[in-house]
Amino acid sequence: MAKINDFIAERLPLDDVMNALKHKQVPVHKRSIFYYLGGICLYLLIVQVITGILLLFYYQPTEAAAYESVKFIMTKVSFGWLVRSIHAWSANLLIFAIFLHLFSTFLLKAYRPPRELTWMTGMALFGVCLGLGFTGYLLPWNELAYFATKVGTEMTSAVPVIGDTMKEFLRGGSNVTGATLTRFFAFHIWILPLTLAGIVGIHLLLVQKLGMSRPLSQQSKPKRSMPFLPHFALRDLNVWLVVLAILVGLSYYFPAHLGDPANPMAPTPVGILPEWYFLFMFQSLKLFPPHILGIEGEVFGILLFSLAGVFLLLVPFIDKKSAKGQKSPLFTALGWFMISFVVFMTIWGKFG
Amino acid sequence: MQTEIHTMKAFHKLKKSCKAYLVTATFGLAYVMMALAGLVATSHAESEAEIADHLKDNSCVSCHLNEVDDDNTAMTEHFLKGIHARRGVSCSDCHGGNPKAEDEDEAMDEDAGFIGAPDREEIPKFCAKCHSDPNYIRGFNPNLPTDQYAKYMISGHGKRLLKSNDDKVAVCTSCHGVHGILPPNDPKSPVYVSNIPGTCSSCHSDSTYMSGRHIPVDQLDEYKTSVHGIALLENGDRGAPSCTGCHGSHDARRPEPSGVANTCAQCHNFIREMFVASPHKAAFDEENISECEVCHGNHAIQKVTDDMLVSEDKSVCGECHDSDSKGWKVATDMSAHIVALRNQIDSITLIVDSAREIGMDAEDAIYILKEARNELVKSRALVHTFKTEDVAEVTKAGTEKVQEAGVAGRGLMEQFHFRKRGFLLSLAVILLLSVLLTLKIRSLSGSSKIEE
Repeated sequence: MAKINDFIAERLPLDDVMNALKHKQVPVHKRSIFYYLGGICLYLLIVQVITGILLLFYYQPTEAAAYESVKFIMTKVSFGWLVRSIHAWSANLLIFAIFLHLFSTFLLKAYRPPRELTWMTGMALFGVCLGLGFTGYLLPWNELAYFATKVGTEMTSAVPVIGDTMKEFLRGGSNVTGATLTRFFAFHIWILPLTLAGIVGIHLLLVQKLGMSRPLSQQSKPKRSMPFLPHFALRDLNVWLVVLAILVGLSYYFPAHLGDPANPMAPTPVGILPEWYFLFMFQSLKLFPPHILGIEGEVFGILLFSLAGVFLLLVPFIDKKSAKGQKSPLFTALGWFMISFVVFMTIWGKFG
Repeated sequence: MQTEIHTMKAFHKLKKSCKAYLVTATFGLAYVMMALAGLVATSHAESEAEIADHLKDNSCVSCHLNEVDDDNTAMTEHFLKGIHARRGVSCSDCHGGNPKAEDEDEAMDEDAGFIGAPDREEIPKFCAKCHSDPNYIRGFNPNLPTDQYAKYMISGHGKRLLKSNDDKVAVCTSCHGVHGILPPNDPKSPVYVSNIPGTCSSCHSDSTYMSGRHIPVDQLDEYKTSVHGIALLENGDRGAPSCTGCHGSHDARRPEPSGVANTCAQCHNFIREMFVASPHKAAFDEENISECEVCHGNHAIQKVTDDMLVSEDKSVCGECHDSDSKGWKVATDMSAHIVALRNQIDSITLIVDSAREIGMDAEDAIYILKEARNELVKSRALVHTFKTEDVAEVTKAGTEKVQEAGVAGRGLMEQFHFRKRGFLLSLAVILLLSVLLTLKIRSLSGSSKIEE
């Protein structure tokens, strides 16, 4: 055993990594609980990868076979229903955890120097995960997925100048067809996961290198901390166990449904809604008047959301006060406004 | 700079031109649409005016439409809405007279061919003048039959009119109306398929009117309770038979016992073939018993039940066959096969429904059960062969399907219980691991130290 360890140690700098982790300290304070959100996201991502690979054993990404193959997974494959349900639920929980991680990081101003890049890679991860959710939703090729994708891709045509080209590129033609399914599949299992893996690597490297941010409100208090290994890592593991229990419970009580197969000839069902994490945008766009400042309301709305995205991405450079270590109540208020807006619009979109 | 100003000016000019163009185009399009709508409305109004004008030249219409007598005014208005007026047939085409004459006496001069209102018994012939002339009718509607009069004369109504001079029997106008006659596919027509029971019953349910004819007057009441009546009148199934579906329309008559089966076979052809090949056919013919009617009735045909084979009070087989007869044994055996399959389907349906209700995907089991139900339907139809082995063969196929559905349904329930056990076990394992981890975490020292 010792020989093997020596063999590996001579070739891989694992000892350096372990030493770094052993010396890493995690701040302990009233807001420490938010440190677990990043770990939860990572854990759910791992679950996604494992269950996604298992689903790939049976899934067939063609217009003719997609629905039947998912049905086969749900009804014939041993534990197929569980794997698909966990995949679907962990996707939803992952987006939810990312929302929490993002907003808690924003409110705690953890994006302030020197963690600007950590924040920006996190934002990029959020975007990629939304893309994964959007592309994965179509893959069962059922009625709901088909029409939600039709509505979703239609919205891209409102983007100025490149909108129509974007829509055609996403759909692989002018309509949602088998070509859309195959390219969404390519995006879902290759392009986006590879992008995600790269950004996750950089994000984690930055987190390990720069450590956890201590909130401004805790700076004046005695600086307490705990070792990452094993103290924080074991706590992380315990939280992951709780998340696993929630995942199993949700999958058992509310297994993923399949619905009816997609029928492009059928009329769009009444009250079709996108997935919940796009609902706040969908609902907001509906509220814009037909024309604002001489441009179409929908185009204006999309421009506004794009600007909000750019603002969020660059917030470490805009929030000068927190960069100087001072309190930044304006950005705190802005954070709470964003949370209230997303929650309110989502509830309104769902039940309104 | 100058170039930029020029560009800006040109841009604004272009923008203004585009706006002006858009506004003009929008209003232009609206104008074209309004003009088109106006054109359609005008052409429609013109077509109505054309009929009115055509008939306004007709002194019959112009006088009767503006008459003091409300009945005659209503009659004329009614006529103008009917198929005859729409197809260009005028009053004088039926009643004779001179529609161009302004003077009343001249217009309705009997010497000049004015007929006036025909007597009731003359009505069939009156209508047949045109409706039995294929060359004339072809000019209006080539698809319209011209054998109505010939058929009418062999109908129960026609025969009574001809032989008994019974002027209370139905003539053309009794069913079709008088002046405002509508085509039979018009839902407002009294001979539109779902209106037929009401039209026939206007006489046949009137006990005073039907007195002395020895015909029951409860046909409509019975029909309304029947499978056919419910299908037509309640469910709007226009393929279901009304009175004319079985009795005929212009040749309406009471079917002879030997003809009842042929009447039913218009729709229930396979059942008829089974019956004809069975030993019952010869026996029924010998006794001159109407075939289907004996067991199923006529106007009040009810939904068939398995009890009609063998039961204490609903068995139709028991009406003729003694309990120790061969026929009764066949009925008992057929019933046993059918009831056994039905019970199996019911019990497996309960299991499959339970599985579906608890969220299991029971689609396959439901599909197999549907196949089993199809076999049950087939076996019920095969009763008309009166051969136990034919029924048994189909119920056997049905039983195999039920068993298959049963395996699927029970499998789903087992899988559900397995999932439940798995869920509880996994929760227990996770909880145990969590407790062990918590204990381990608590045992660690230096969980929170002050940084130097």
